[in-house]
Amino acid sequence: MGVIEVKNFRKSFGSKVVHKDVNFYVRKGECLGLIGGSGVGKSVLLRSLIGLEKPDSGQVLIEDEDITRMNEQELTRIRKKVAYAFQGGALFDSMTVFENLAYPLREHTSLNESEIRKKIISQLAEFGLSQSESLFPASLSGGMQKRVGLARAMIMGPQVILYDEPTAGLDPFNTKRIQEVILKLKSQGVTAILVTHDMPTALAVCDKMAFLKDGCVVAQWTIEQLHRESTGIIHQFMNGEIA
Amino acid sequence: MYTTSTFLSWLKEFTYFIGGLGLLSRDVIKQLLNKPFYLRLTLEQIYQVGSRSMPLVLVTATSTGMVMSLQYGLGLEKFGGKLYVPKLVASTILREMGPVFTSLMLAARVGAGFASEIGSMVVTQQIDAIRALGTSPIKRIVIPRVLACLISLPLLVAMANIVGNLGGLWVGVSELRLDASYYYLKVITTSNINDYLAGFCKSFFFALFIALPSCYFGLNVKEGTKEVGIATTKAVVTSSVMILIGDFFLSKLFWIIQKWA
Repeated sequence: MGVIEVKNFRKSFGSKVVHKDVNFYVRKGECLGLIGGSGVGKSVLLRSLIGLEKPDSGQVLIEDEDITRMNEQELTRIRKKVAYAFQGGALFDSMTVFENLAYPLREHTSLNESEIRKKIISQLAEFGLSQSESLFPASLSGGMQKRVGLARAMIMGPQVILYDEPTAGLDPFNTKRIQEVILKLKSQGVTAILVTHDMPTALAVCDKMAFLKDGCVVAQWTIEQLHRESTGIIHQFMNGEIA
Repeated sequence: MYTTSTFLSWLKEFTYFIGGLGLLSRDVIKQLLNKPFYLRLTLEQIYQVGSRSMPLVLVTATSTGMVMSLQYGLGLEKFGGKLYVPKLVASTILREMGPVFTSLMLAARVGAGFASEIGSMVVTQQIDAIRALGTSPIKRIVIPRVLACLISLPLLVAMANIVGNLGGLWVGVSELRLDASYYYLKVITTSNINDYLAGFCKSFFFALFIALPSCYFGLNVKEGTKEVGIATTKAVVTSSVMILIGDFFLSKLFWIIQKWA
């Protein structure tokens, strides 16, 4: 049915049940906004979609393959086509910006060093990071680290991208820039899931929204539905009436 | 009640540690046999573990050799046994002090470094990023460190053996008034290859006792920077205890092997 499909997903940490029964799917080229109050487990769910977390039960299907049964070596194949943009960038602090971006290219492609350089320079320019390739992450601002992390996640041209709060902490100019990048990738047919609290961005780039509450997806609306209707649980959340 | 619950929680932690160490060792062996192999990362670790530990190891070995020579000399002088000092110092250094002291020094310096570095990488999601980018933290982080310890520690032990005996010789000549050529000849004629091999072979096991628990504790950091400190302490204590306990059993094992041979 979809490129990504989550069925009867259950996850707990010790005695705390985070997800009771989560179900949703995302079709090819679609962007799903995953929203919900703080601590409902949006990031845990997103991490589970590339096998960084294992569910207690249920299925996570990526192109009809259940990744919950895969070992780390099998997951490598999935992780080459599904990219994850970490909230804080998760850059390697012992490497420069250039080396951070070169990392996946050196690991998974047969490009030579001049091709890698060319690709990285153009990717950095797209994210407004020209002239920063020789800097180490420690000398970048939080927003720049986040953008480098996004650039690294996208450099392999993945089929699916999982964004974990890509615009949190960014100024309006860079927020708009990230929105444009997400829309550009969407127009190229890249499937995406966006975890965010930034509602204007979610409304600008997503095709549908799933609202996570009490361990379940309690509402799933398309953006058209959201614009059409003026009441409902997602509206209440967006207006700050419920957590 | 408190004692029982403390013991039970310790037992649970110990069981997790044994299981986790077993699984980590299995992954290391399994992934060591598969491509890719990160030569540059391994060489970097050999430099960090081997070259940069050399001053500490050499100072410790010299001091140990000197102290042993002095103490044996002063103790045996009363019984006219001063002439046995070269043999005693040499075989003690080759069999025990060289490998054990060098390994303990390395456990403190390198083990702490491994656990804190890897722990910090976990906290800042760098380990997750390695996995998310389709690569293996075992291959990139653990295997280079394990190999660096396996290559560097035996070489450091060999150096510690030489420097320790030189320290003993210096004190033997300057404090105990032994002839330098007599001391040297005694070391050469009374120490045999078995003395050397018993200590040298232990160093490979000690290398694993340092690298694997340190990586294990680093990788299992979960709740922020406070746990990095705890993991570092655990890594040093566990490695040291494993070296000291393992030393007895390995000494016994090599003794049995030598009896057969």
